[in-house]
Amino acid sequence: MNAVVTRLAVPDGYAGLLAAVLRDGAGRGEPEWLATRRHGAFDRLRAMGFPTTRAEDWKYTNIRSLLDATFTLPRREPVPEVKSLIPHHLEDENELIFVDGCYAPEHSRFEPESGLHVVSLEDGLRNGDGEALRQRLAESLPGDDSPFVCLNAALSGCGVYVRVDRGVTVSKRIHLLFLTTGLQPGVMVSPRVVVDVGAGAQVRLAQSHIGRSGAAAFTNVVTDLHVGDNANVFYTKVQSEAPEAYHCSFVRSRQAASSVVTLLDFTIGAKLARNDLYAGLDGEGAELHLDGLYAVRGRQLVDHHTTVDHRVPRGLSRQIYKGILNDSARVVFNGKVLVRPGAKLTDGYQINQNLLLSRSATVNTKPQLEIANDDVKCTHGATIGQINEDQVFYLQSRGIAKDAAVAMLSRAFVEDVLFLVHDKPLQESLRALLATYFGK
Amino acid sequence: MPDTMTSTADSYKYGFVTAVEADTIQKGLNEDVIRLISSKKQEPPFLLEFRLKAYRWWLEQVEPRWAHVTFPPIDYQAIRYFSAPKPAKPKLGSLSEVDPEVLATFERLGIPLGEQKRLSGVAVDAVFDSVSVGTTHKEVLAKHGIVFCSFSEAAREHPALVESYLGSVVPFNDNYFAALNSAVFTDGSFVFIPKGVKCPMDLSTYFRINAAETGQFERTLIIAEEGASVSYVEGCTAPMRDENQLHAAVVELIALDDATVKYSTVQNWYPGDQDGKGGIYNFVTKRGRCAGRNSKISWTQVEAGAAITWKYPSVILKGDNSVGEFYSVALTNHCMQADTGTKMIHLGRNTRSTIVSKGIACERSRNSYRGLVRITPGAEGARNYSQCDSMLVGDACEANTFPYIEVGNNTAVVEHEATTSKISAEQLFYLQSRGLDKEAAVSLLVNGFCKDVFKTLPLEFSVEAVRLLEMKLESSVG
Amino acid sequence: MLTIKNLHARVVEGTPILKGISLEVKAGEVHAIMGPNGSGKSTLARIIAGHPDYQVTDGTIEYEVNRRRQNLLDLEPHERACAGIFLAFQYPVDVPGVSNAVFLRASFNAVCRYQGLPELDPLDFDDLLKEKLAMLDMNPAYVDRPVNVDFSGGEKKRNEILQMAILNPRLAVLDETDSGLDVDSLKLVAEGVNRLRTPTNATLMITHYERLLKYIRPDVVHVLDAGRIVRTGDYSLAEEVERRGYDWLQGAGAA
Repeated sequence: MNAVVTRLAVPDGYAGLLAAVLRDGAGRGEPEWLATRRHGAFDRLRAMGFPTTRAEDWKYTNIRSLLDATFTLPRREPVPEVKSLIPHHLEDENELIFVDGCYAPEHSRFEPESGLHVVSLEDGLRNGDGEALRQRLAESLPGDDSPFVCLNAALSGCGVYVRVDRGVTVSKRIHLLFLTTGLQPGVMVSPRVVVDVGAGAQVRLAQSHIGRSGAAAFTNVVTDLHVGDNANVFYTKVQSEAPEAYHCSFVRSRQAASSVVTLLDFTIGAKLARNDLYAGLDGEGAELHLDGLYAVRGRQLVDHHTTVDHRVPRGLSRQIYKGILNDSARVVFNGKVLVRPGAKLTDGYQINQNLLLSRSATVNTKPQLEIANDDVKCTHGATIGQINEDQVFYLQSRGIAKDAAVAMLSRAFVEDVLFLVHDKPLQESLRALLATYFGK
Repeated sequence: MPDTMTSTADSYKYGFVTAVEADTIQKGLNEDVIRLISSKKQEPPFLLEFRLKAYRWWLEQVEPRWAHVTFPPIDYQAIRYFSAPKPAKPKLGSLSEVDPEVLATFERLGIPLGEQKRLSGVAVDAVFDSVSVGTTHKEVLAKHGIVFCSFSEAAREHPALVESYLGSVVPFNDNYFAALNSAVFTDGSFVFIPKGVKCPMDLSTYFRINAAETGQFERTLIIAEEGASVSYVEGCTAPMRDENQLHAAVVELIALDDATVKYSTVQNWYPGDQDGKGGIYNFVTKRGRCAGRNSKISWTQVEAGAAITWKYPSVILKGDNSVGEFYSVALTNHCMQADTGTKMIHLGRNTRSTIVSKGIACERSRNSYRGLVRITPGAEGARNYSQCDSMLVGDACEANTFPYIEVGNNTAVVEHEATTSKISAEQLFYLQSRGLDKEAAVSLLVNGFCKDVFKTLPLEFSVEAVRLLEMKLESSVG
Repeated sequence: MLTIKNLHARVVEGTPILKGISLEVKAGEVHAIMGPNGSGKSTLARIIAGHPDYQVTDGTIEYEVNRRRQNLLDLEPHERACAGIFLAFQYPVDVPGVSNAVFLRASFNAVCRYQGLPELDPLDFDDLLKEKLAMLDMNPAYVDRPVNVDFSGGEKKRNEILQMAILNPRLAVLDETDSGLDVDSLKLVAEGVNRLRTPTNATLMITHYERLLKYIRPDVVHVLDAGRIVRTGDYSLAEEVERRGYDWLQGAGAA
């Protein structure tokens, strides 16, 4: 039989990282159960190994270069200034800033609101929220068998626990900013974000990952959203890491009956980015809006794997992923819509649209429907195309330079996704970030 | 004709067995069996070598399991790899020498082969278990220089043609089941349309599995030279039996410059009973190569039978401006499983492909579309349009769509759309309340859903296909 | 034409909905059935058309046209349609893939066959369709669209009336045909219905509001509550309901 390598061993150095995390944790008085959890996750990771491109979910993404690189754990070091790192600084929000994997209260600003509890993960484990958080972390969620989720569970250092009490409308956007300065080379950051939104509550959350050019860091983040009945959550993730960086992200959302969740995934940075997203519609009549926008160039690779899981009747999901590719960039989109037996009257929609600006850009898209129920309405689609030459010429004939014309038409291509961001200041900041893609 | 099993439990009316004296070899597979098959067919040496090469490669492989279907392990040693009805006279050659029981079987299947009754507009090659029993209209076709005969005959009469094209589209080591077929294939059809010739009638092969515990491994090779064109149709049925039988065919199509090959299938293998007992495993590799400029290959399939269907009729678009098409209706009911679709591999410039797939899943069946559209960097100006629709009937069935789209160049335009809908009791009532009886209502819904595919079938087969689907659906709806 | 006696019915294996309805509709008459939500109005309409979700537990429905008396409950839904009964649905059903033209001709010819009348070929049918479209002021483009798919509420209701105009029924049952319609659409629909009124036809209108009755004047008005007819009268009863609501009538049936 031909021997086929289907698994890659966990790099030797990772065991050393685990030992350091455990030592550090013990020094800070980390609870015993957390150390056990770290061991368990690492053992699972070792047993399963990392995937090769023989694995269906990693068919188009080779992670050998990531595993070959050497990473260190973040060290807490004073950073005098971070403002210049934040390209889309937003007024009127609560900002929690993490610098190279460490919470930086001196740069953060947070105005308490009643019914809103925000604690850093280290604090959360020690104070009154410790038990609630422990329970959340002990729950098993889809994606727990992903090697990067295991790696995060073993090594997670920084993070945030956000809890919104039942019926509370949080007035300010909560912005979690993870900054990579490049001052510590080859740092591996494993943030964990846990969000608990009570029944009828309403909250806006943004999670940004921003890296200074030259910061060849590896961010491996896991975000879990637990959304109660009738709650309303608007969550935005912005990834603008350094061009040398690796970024792995897993966002998991589970929503109860009649809740409305909007997830926006904005990707512009990193050399290799893998975005896994799981959205479970667990309660009847839940509504999900899942939007993605990506703009990549050079030799960037972005791999989106999304799963929308209709588990119960009357769920509604709308997914729009759009992106622009230039140079030799590669994009993978694997969007799965599951309709479980019994999930009657499901209404699902999914589209992936790609604009290729160069000859050597590549798109591999697989919009996938798995339906085990007849009383549903599901539609999906994918398109891949180039810019309309007639439109470019028309703009040129009106005096607009070709590059500017292409940029204008490309921006128009993704404008409908930006338009879905009802939070206007956020919409503007995303538009500004997108402008950096077109240079100038 | 004795019916050992009548079709009382099921609407499958082709489930009878013909009592016929057969030349059957021992069960099991090894190099001696392959040598025996080859010698029975008096094959040229290159074919035996091809078979042995494929067999040795196959031995080193594991059976693939990636399709969205489940089945117990297949015991390849429990299968008989050759079974042929014994001729009334010792040498098979003309139809008058075929066992009358075999001829009567085909007549009962609606495929009369005798001079008097045969279909006038279609030339038919009839394959019974492992061998071709006869081909109609050979003389007319010969006048145009067209070769339409059994594969075995082609290997003897036209060895040079067979040697140069066999395995050129589906190599012996393409996949597990293609390798098995390459090792043990027994018969099939061979078509050669010379340069500039438009084939004056549809060509058709009808495959019948009759013997128990046999597998059917046919091999079809169709070559259309420069400027030639042909429309080919295949049909198939098998008796109702409690055990599963394996059908692993390979079809290779080659279209040179400006040539057109249209290949249509109406597949109605025995699907097993309501609880999924018995039925044919239909694991087939079908692929065409648009080798020449402006060539065109078009697949149409109506898949209504078989316990498990696992096939992806594909087109390699090598020639500039070549066109690939795939039109499919796949209906599953009872416990049937179908994982079917196509691959369109765009290599040449300005190549175009169209995919229209309609899946109908009923009862406890599983119906998956799996397709690949690959636009390579050299395929400048390539276009693909795909439409994959599923219709569900009942809440215990499953319909899945797995479209893989790989685009490596920005001059390509690729569009994929898919929808899911259902036939509901409410819809049926609505149509009935406007005066249509249940059959008419189901027929209207099915035709509406499948019309884009049906209109690509040759007329007489389109009528047959519609009737086949209506019959299967009526028992599942409402 | 339609004689309903002591009709009891329930959802198959479910709770009783109709608890003894008696009603007679004669040729040339227009009856209105009013009643609050959940009173059983739509159930009655659907039972007349033969909807499989309901089960008649007692009573009879007789239908008589051309001196031929039939037990309606013995007929399949399509036989009822062929015999001249037409239900305009409250929620017309989407039929993707099947165009209006194909559907209407199939339906028209099925009814013709049943009644022993000659069927129409596509060209002749096209003429008939154009005539009816013009009568209802409908866009001809609409016949090539799949039945009810992506139709607005008003379009769906007008499509029901178009089907009625084509099939030319003897007894039309309009189930909440006015719901969800703006006044202009309501007028158009009512005009369509009025044009189909003849001395040999009859109409049964199911409605929650008196609004539609302004445009289609009924001869008899019944008020249904909790599965029984609690009051029967002339048009003034509808006006009274409009003024006073249903509360004053509720419970009257039990007495």
